[in-house]
Amino acid sequence: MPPIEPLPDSVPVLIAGGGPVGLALAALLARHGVASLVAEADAGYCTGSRAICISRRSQEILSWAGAGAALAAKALPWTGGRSYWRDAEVLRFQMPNEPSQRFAPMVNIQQYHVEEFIHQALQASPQLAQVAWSARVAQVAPQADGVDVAIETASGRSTVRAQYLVACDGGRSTVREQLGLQLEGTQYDGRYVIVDIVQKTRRPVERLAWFDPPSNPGSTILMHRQPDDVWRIDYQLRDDEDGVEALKPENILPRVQSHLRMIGEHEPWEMLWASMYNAKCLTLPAYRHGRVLFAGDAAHLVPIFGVRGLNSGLDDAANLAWKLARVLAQDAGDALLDTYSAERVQAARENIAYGAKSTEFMAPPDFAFRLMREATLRLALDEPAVRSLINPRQSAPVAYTGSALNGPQVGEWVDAAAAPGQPAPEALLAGPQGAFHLTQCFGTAFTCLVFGDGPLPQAVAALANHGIGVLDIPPEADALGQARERYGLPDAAATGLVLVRPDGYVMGRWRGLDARPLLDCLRGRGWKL
Amino acid sequence: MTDADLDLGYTALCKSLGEVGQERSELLLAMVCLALMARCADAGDVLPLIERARDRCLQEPPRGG
Repeated sequence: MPPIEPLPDSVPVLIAGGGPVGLALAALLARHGVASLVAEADAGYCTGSRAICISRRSQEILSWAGAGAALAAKALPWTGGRSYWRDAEVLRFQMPNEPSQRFAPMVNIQQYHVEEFIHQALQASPQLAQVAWSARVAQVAPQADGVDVAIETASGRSTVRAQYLVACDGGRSTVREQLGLQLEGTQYDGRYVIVDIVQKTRRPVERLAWFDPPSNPGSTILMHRQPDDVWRIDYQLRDDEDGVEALKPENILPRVQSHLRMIGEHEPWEMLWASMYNAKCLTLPAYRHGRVLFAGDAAHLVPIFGVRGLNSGLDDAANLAWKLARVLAQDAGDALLDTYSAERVQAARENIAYGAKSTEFMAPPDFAFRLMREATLRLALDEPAVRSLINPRQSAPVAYTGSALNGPQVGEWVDAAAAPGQPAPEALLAGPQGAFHLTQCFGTAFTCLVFGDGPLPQAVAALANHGIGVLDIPPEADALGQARERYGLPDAAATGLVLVRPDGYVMGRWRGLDARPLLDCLRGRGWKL
Repeated sequence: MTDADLDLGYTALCKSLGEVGQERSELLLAMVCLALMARCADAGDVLPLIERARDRCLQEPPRGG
């Protein structure tokens, strides 16, 4: 990638780290009209598949980043999976999914493709989003009204003054180290080798797991299909195996070959990449330190088994982008950034708890978890009721329960799915240009959903003057009744307003069609309207 | 469960444990325990049982001491 020379003297937002989270943040900021500079130490995209499972919510966020079409064209959708113990199937699961959904619950794609797609989308806003490759953050010096960041490039070291620095520089974050901050939590000892191989297959796209398979006795194996005829294979090492030896091709190839033969995949194959990990449950206690913010793996590390690593990092970016934009535009005080930390730390703790549950099964941490897993796997042959214990517990967006940003819920609402702090539910609607999904309307501004019974009241339409998108959803637009049902209107004739944040979370909901409480809600949270 | 049925279950468990042998006894007990747990109505039925048994076990001196 051609370097940016020279680097600018100053920038509103400096993003340390040009992985998928850093690049997505730059794209989302650009959508809000905020300029940023991404400093990435490597010369290009990552190598190896790394984070491969992209959740439904992440697909929404990547659409806001401009990478939606490229992702949909390349990634492989899946809806379920199977688990085996020895040579018997013990679990078959399906994630919630139905034809009217906008996205599959999960799609598989290599991380380098995700980075590439977002980077390409950034080319549409070259004045706003700049990416400096081969640019390494060397020093971070917070100041009263900004952060001085020393960056090393091929031509030497220069300092960029940023109003805000966002650390998206991964598990071994330099920014974290520079500020003397430590991740807190625990790690699991169980190690997994992860391998990408290229091999043609006719198998459907689903998550496959084997416990104690004849091909690799005593081990646990996971397989995920990826684009370009790539398989991702994860297998657990024994506690007594040497990590360095385990990554040598002569030790990887036979184990992979043995398993491929067992499952009947006989096409020629070759290995592309291998790495190793152990599950971590770690987070910073706060993601805001003055003018420095943390997102993605720089802020938290969660076990791979819960599939919430990259997915939660993208959620961090979506939560932060609109808040940073508001603060930089001086539409809101910078205390708004504290809500980023509060909401996303809470989310990380929930994601860690889910990840820990998955890890207890995939890499049992002691004799007790090992014993009960063995009991569960054998019992599962005859007892359907215990199979849920084998379920890997998929990613779902976290609700911001108790957040200071949550507004009120006024009047009778009969479903909690769209309560303040919840992710705004999806609905398929009918519009003048055809069918569209409700979530297509989120991502930039606040949106007021109008469940009305006739012409739009003038005061509600006037919300647009405050930069609030107004989406009228008359019964004929709510063709399948999904919106009224999922947003909790008691009946087809009920009226109400729902205020949705730019990141697609519900801020408040009010029965009736009075616009004033919405404005009061925003003013009460520091908005200048 | 009647006393007579409890007797039947008890004896069946002992005999099965004897058949599988001491080394596999933990696994058998874990399987039976999990199967019975799955038949209870909710965690409220189960968690107090586990807690009481744990407390009793912790009162036992460790073997070989």
